[in-house]
Amino acid sequence: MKPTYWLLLAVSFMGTTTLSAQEDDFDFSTLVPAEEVKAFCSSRILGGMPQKLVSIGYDVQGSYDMNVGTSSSLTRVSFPETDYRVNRTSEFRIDIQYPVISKNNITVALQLNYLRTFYDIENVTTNDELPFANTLDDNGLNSTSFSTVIFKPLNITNFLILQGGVALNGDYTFADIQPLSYTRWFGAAIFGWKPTERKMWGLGVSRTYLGGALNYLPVFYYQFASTNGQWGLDVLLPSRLNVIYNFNKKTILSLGHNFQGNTYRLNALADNIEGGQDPELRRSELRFRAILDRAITRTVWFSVQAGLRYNWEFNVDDGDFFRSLFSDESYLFENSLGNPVFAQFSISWVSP
Amino acid sequence: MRNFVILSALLLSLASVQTTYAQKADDIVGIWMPSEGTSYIQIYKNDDNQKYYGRIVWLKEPNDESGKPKTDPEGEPILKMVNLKDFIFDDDEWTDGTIYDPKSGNLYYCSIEMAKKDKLEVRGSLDPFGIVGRTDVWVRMKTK
Repeated sequence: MKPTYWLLLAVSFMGTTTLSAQEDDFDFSTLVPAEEVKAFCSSRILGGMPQKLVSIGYDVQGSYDMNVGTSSSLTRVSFPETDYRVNRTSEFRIDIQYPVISKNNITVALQLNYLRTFYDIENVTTNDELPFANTLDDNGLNSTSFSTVIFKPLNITNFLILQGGVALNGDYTFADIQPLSYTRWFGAAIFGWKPTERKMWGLGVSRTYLGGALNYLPVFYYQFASTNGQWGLDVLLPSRLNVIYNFNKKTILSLGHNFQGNTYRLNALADNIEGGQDPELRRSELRFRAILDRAITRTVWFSVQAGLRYNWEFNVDDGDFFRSLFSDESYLFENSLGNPVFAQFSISWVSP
Repeated sequence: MRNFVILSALLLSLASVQTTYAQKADDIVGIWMPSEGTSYIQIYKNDDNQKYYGRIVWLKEPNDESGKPKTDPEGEPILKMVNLKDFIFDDDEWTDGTIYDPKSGNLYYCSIEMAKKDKLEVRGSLDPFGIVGRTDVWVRMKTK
C-alpha cells in the first residue's frame, strides 16, 4: 500500500479518536461559526401558554333584560322604547391560526375567525316598528374575519409584531351575504423587547373596533413566566389581562378580563329606516372570567371558562366612523343590556 | 471477456453511486449551532443502525441560577443529552427523526435539509409531514 493511503487511513482513525475525546476533553467554546450568523429572539416565551392553532368553542350567556330605543336628549331618531327579555345568548366560534412561514428570522401566520351569535328573545313580535330585536332573534349576528400576523425579530432582543386584517360583520346569512363594501379593516404594530427567555414585552398602536366603533388605541404587550414555571402573565392591554397559574403541565388556571367588540351592519334595519340611514350596531363587552385549560393529549386541550359579561356598548350609529371609548356623541338610538353570567367551552389543537 | 467488462462497469458504477450517497448522507456529521446561539449540537452516525443522532455538547450557560447543571422539565441533565434521534438520509434530506426541546420538554417530528455546505434547515413539527412547524437555521462550527 502506498504511503499516502496509510496516511489517509491514519487520519480517518484519528478523526474517530478525536470525536471520542470531544465528549470529555474538547473545549467547544473555542469553536467558531463557519458562516456569519445572526441570532434572533423567538416569538414565544419559555413556559408560556400553549398556542391554539385550531379552536372550536360554544359560549352561552344567562338571561338578561334588554331595553331598546332608550329615550335620550341626544337621540337623533325616536322610536317607541321597548323592553325585552333575552332568555339566552349563545355563540359558536371557530378560530384557526396557520403559520405559513415559521423560521427563526420571521414568522407569518394567517388567522381565520368566525363568530356566530344567536339571541333567544322572549317577547318579539313581528309588528315592532323597530325590527331591531326581530333581526337579532331571527338572524343573529355573524362576524367573519381574516388577518395576518407577522412576527419579525430584529436581533436577539428586539422584535416587531405587525397585524392587519379585514372583517365582515352583520346580521347577514351566508345565503344572503351583505355587500363587501361594509368590510372593515383593523391592524396593529408593536415594537418589543425580549430581555430573557421567560419575558417579552412591547408597546404599540392599533386601529381597532374593541369599543364597538372605530378607534385608535395604544397597545401594551407583556408575556411572562416565572422561573419555576408555575406563574405567568398574559397581557395585551386594553384587550386582555390574564394571571396564569400552572397546577402542572396539563392543567392551567387563568384569571382576568377580556375586552372585545365589533361594529355590525344591520341590514334588516337599513330596509326599514327611512332616510337612507346606515345602521351599525356598536357591540362591545367586557368579560371578567376564570379559565381552566386541561390537556387531553399533548396537542389537544379542553378549555372551560366562566364569569360575568358586562355590556360596554350595544348602541346603533348611523354609519361607520371614529368614536372614542368614552364618547358622548349622539347615537341613532341607544340600547341597554343586563349583565349576565356566562360559560364557554372549547376544544383546541395546540402547539405545546 | 465482454461480459466481464460490462459486469465490472456495472459494479463500478454501483460502487460509485454508493460512495456518493454515503458521502452526501454524512455531510451532516459535525458540530452545529442553532440560531439562538446558546448551544452546540454534535450530529453523528450510529454505525449499528446507520441512523443519525445529535447530542448537546456545549451550553452557553451550563448551570442554572443555583449553580447546578441545567436540566430538562423531567430532571435530566441537558448537557450531553441526545436530543436528535433516528434520522435516515433519503432524497437529499434527513427525515423520520425526532427533536426534543429540553427547555420545554416537548418532542417534535423533525426533518433536516442542508441549505448550504455549512448551513442546515432543521424543521420541527407537530405532524409527521412537517405542515405545522417551525424551521430553525443551524450553522456548522469549526476550529479557528
